[in-house]
Amino acid sequence: MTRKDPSPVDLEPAERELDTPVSRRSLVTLSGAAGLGGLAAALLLDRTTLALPADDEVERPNVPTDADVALLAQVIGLELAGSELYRLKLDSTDGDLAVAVRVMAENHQAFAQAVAGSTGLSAETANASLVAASRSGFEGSDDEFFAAAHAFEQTAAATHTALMGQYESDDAIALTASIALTEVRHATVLADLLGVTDLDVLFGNDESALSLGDDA
Amino acid sequence: MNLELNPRTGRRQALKIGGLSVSLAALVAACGENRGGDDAPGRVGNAPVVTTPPDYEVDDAVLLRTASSLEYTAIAVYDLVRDFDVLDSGLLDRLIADHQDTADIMVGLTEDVGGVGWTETNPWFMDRLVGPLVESITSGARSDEDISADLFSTVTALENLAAASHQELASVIGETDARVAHLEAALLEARHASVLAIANSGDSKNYISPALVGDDVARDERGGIPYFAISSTFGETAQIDLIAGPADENGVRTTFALQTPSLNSFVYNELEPDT
Repeated sequence: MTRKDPSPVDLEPAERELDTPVSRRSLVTLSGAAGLGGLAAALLLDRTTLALPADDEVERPNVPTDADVALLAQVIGLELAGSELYRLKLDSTDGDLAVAVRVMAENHQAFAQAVAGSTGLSAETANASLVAASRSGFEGSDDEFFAAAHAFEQTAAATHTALMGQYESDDAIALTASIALTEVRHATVLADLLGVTDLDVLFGNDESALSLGDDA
Repeated sequence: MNLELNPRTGRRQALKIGGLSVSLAALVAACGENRGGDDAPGRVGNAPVVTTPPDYEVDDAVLLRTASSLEYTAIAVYDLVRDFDVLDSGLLDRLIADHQDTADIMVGLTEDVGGVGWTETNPWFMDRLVGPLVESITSGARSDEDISADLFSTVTALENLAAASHQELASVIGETDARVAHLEAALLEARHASVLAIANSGDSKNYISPALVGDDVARDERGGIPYFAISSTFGETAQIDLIAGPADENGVRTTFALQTPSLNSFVYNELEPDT
């Protein structure tokens, strides 16, 4: 009967004390491993070559560059301003509208936090001038709120679109696209709540992009 | 003469021989040519020979051709919808005009990057998605109301798909002008999708998905998947499910999976119209 477990003989401590034979054994084992390593390297050579980018390809950085971070720092202020403004409306509303307002407030906060996570900055300070400029509309009647919030979302979307051409990194580009898409959806809901039926308003955007950088 | 075997020497010898054998085998394997034999996996039975797909390059022109093909696919679906009483004619005309404008922009950008503009539908989407979907919706003895409801859900899902596709293309394309154009197209089509989702839901006004406040998303009154103006916190590029067509004998309706373009549905530079 053949034993499949290791032979007890191999456990003899005396054998480890024999210096020279053990060294030779290691040498032979290492040479075998080196041979296998060489074989593996030879077989993988072609695949490595295929994985290399073509000469004319320009690599775009994955993480935000310094220039991206400077822009995204302003975006954090913009998004936190949106969140703060929506929360102003929460104090004077309830029911389904309150649910919608809370979701939009939380979405803007999530946008700021996502940008902060991508850049390593903290999402703490809202753009004070934006909050001040829109505060009365957000605190007004429902219709005044819908109009002010619609204008804010359109402005935010226009701003993200303008910044899209300036970013240098994959993360900044992908994040901006995913944020802007939700903001135009916010705008569509707000326009419907306002009773807008003009397709130019529903599908278009007359708001200008913000010139970020003055007050964050 | 001592003929007694030494067990330690035997093991050492075995290791030596083993190590040298592996080294020699590696050397022979690395230097050998024409080793013979079939490298393909083993096959059982009379299966047809596997055809290796061509390995075409994916550059900005391919992505832009794919984008314009999606716009023409949307126009083809809206042209079909016109034969049914699904959308207000003013809204329908505007949706078609917007998709045509976006297609023209994508074609122009394709030519700017040295490609040949694509002015037809996407063959893969038409063969694998739109064709079977429309056939399913219009097959059997279905009421006009059922067909119209399915077509409304279809165009809403397609607008969501178009928005997601442009969002994804904006993230991967190299040219800056094209990147901005993709984002603008994504925003426009997200607006389309939101307006259609609200219009399709009647009095319930599907503004916000219940999933965003932690609730379950129930099926609509016809057993379909409802679409919402705001369905997620961030713009999503995940698969969009659409339930359409008649129920089978078990009452189960077909679920169609809408996915953003990838290697199988790109309009490669080597692809000619009507091929």
